[in-house]
Amino acid sequence: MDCRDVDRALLEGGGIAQLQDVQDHLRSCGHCRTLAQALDPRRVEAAPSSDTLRHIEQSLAADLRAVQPMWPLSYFFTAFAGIFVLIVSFGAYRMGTFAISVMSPLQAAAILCALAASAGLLAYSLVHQMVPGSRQRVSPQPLPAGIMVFLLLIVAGLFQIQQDPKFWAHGWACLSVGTPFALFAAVPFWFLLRRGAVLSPRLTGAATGLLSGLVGTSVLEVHCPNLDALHIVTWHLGVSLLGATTGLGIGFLAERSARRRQNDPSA
Amino acid sequence: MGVRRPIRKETAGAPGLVSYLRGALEIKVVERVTSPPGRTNITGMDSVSSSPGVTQGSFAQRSLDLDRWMERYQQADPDAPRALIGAVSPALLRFFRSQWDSREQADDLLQETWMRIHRVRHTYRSGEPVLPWIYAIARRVRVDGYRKRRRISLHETAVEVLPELPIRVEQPDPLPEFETLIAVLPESQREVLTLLKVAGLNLEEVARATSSTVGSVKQKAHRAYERLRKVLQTRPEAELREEANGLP
Repeated sequence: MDCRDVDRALLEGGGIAQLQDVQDHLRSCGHCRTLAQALDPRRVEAAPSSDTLRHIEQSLAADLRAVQPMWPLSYFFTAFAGIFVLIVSFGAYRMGTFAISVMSPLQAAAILCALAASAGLLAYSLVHQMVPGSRQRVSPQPLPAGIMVFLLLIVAGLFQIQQDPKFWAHGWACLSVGTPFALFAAVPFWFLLRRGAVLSPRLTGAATGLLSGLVGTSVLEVHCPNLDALHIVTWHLGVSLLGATTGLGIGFLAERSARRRQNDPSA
Repeated sequence: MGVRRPIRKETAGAPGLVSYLRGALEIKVVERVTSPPGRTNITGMDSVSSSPGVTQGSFAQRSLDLDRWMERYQQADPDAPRALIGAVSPALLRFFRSQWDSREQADDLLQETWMRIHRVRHTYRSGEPVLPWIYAIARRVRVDGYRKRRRISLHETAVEVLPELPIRVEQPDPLPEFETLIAVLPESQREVLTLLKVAGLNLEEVARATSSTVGSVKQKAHRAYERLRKVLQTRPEAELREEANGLP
């Protein structure tokens, strides 16, 4: 057993036999022994005063009411996914599915699957962000940026850059179609999020904004027959980026206002 | 017998080390769960015989008891908040203290944590471990507290004469304080190590509390160990040898 094995044993646990091995190693290795002793949690002395504990107990007891525990996370996931599909379907019905008829089956399948997978991942991450201490299989911090990069690569791989003489005019038209759908989706998403406890408003705001933006992007991918890669990246994915940025901004403001309320309870 | 450095709250270095290892290897020496006078002991709920100050049950059993108390807290059982506060607050305070907060600040953060726990208690899901849920909230409170302090300190002006600090009369300890030792680590590694060592969470629970994956937690802890090993290696070899003499 070497020093790395000791680290591993301390982290992952083990049986009595392993404990014996660790002890043997510690007898011969001064550095491991010092490390183990230095990290002894009992060296941190702290016990709350009885006054503090009593004060907390009284505060909690004063407002003690039975609460209904949250629904299972699968319900929330279904709700997020349902809202996404419903609004995209409504958008496709309302605006028309012109893009599907001009795209090849591979292009249509790939872009729609990529959008669905991205939305699914975001919804999964969001429902876990609503519950503190949830098991995260995908780290939520890099997820929004990761999804944007993934979609960028998919679009770059599927579509070619073409000369679009009305780049700005077409782009503005797409932005004005996609953004209202994103806003429309953000409202029910926000109501769902209110059922949980959002610990990091900035992170959750960015993820929710991106999910809302993906609704707008999906509507555009079904509706807009312009297959110029530059147009899709700038204006279709731009709706998602706009959503994520707005969500991040709202999260930032929410954090700031919560801090102000905390500092000034009368406000 | 040449034991130069008694670990605090321990009788001697060597037995302390063995018990520490037992704890780290999840044959946990269970933290004492004692009830203040007139309070319900959290293990008493399952009719486990208990007397104040006696180490009892297993870590898993204690964790399970806390989960049950949390469910009763959601149902507005008046004993539940008292039991939870009594059982979890010492570890929470240690969590705040080990991250460079003063005693007063740690007390404030502890109160704020319980207030938030109370507000979002409906988000605890039956059957899930309660400690990662609590520490995820505590972690957020600590971050908010840090930001608040930083903002206040920006508006503060230094006084010319600082009050004289009381001189601490303590037994000299050749090992650096836990807080001092981990202060050399980056924030993320320090947090992981604190949750593992001070809060007593396992890898899975730390991953839940920090919204990350088990692999990421493991990597951070390994890096932290490596760095601390390097720091401690700079200590004179003679000092280490003297400590070794104290071992059985």
